Amino acid sequence: MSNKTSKLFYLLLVLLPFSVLAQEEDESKWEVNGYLKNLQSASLIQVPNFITGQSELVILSNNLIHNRLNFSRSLGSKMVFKSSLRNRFLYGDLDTPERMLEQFEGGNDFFDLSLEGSQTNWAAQTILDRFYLDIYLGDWEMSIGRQRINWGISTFWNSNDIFNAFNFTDFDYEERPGSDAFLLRKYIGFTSSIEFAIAAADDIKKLKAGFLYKFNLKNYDYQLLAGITENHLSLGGGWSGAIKKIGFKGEFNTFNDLSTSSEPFTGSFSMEFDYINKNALYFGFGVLYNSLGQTDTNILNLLDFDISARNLYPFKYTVFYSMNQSFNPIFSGGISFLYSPGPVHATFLSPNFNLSIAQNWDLAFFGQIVFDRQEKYSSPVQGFFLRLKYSF
Amino acid sequence: MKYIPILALIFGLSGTFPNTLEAQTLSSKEIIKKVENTMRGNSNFSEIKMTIIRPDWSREMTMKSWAKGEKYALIQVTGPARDKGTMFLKRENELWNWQPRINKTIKMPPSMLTQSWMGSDFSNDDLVRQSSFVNDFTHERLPDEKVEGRDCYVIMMTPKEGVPVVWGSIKFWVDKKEFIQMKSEFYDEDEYLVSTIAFSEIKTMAGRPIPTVLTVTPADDEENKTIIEYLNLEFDKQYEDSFFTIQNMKRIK
Repeated sequence: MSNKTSKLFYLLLVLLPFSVLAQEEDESKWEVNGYLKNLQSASLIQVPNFITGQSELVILSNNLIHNRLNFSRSLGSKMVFKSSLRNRFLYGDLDTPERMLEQFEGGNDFFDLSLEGSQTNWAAQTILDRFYLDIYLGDWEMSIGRQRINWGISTFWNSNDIFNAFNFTDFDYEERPGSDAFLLRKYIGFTSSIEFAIAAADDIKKLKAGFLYKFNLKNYDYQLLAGITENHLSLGGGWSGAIKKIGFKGEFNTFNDLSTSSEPFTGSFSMEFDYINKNALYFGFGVLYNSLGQTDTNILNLLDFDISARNLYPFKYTVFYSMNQSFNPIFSGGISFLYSPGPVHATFLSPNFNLSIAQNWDLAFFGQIVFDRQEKYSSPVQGFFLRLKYSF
Repeated sequence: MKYIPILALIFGLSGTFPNTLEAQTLSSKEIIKKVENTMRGNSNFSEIKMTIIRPDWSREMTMKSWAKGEKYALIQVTGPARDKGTMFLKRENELWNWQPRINKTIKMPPSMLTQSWMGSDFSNDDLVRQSSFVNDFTHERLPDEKVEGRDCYVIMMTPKEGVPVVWGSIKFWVDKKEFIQMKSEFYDEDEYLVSTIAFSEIKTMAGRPIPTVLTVTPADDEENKTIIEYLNLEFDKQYEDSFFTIQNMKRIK
């Protein structure tokens, strides 16, 4: 499809719910909801000055206006059409149109369902990140189109999420990307199912497809996965349950190159525990082993890391610890701490606060602070974000 | 902070039981049994509005709930907009949560169950409550009292030894005629009052007299309140066990 045609195609898809909505005699059949957010960010970056040998502090400030519209329409009792439109307008200090546009990469899968534009100090994008039809036939379920196939279990690292892995540093993308795919699911019990999913690809080497078997045994949920992930045979699984009162879950996946037997085994394993005490203080603790990760790569890779189920994090070994406290029903705060042992001692610290300021209004603060040790322990980048959100 | 088991309330505490026995012939245990039978026996569907009230602010939340006895339940959050569509599934002592925006089913850790439910003065402890007000408590009848002009039995319940209950004792006021709970007081192990639930606005719903408003007041802070209001209530719906599944959690409207 040429670029122009695909843009027209995109517009057509975006307008579809609106146009049908306008003609509909009974508008109540449509459900529309979403939000409007304003995200103000400040990035503090230590830029090395090679002449003086000192580093200089550069502060970049950006503002993102972010709107989301979710449409849903039942078509009889057996079908539901769902579509979500994500609109963003960013302006601020990033210096080139290309740099601005880079902010909006990702989210598109096989089809290009987006429109972008940018100038030196602004960039805008509208993208359909969901556009699919759910079909229910007894114990069978089918989903066709751009959808989120969520096979992951863990909080941070989902090696079973072979269709649309997400980067947890992208905290503002609450819905996470979708995938142009077909999914078929058969429920075989109250809590068990078999699923098959395949994502659109124009090259067999880029194909992602897999089976997932979910079942429940002795108060544990389990899953087993077998599939093809970009020319790798992928075999994995996961679990979710509890040891006494402590939540215990994890997942693993192995990837074997189908075209060469010389590539060493790749895979990852993550495991975590969580607990909430009587005073609503939440604790989470977990580990990740990622065979494709490095031990000495730069910490800055974390913030624009090209994530996939095969490579979930820039580092090989990582531990996380997180805490969250509800101070009262409208105010909560927490902190996550990730540390990767190795020569650079990569550390990621992320505090957050959320305040419900009125029935549908939320004010949130997020911080992303990275530390590493090149010569001495320092923090080359700190990001701070203030977000106002109105949900409707 | 101790929270009142909310789901006991949502899943049918307000149910009543047509009385055919002579009141005088009932022991305290039988009275509680009649109240509990209605709590547990039926399937029901309800629509609920919960309001959390604090001196400086208040927040509203609405939900739909489908329940079968005490073992099975589905709850759908219908408001506020931010949480709309979030689902909870309870099967026996397991609990799942479905987040539609990321299409993720999360098995909730057991410690989550003792938490305040959606920030209210309730907890969802009752989801996995194994104890029975009839068999796991001793019952002592106190002199009758009037609540909102209605004659009530007053029964003090104390958990038997080894029963895992957070309360030291619970005092129940039960309407003599309709077997509706009119008031409950929850005491800790040191016999201090922790919180009170008042039942009010008795209306006929699904052909029965129902207290449609429940107000929870923590004893140590009477300006804080959580109010639960039944907007709609249907009894004796026949739900199969297979209604309460992960499959239905995603499909139900």
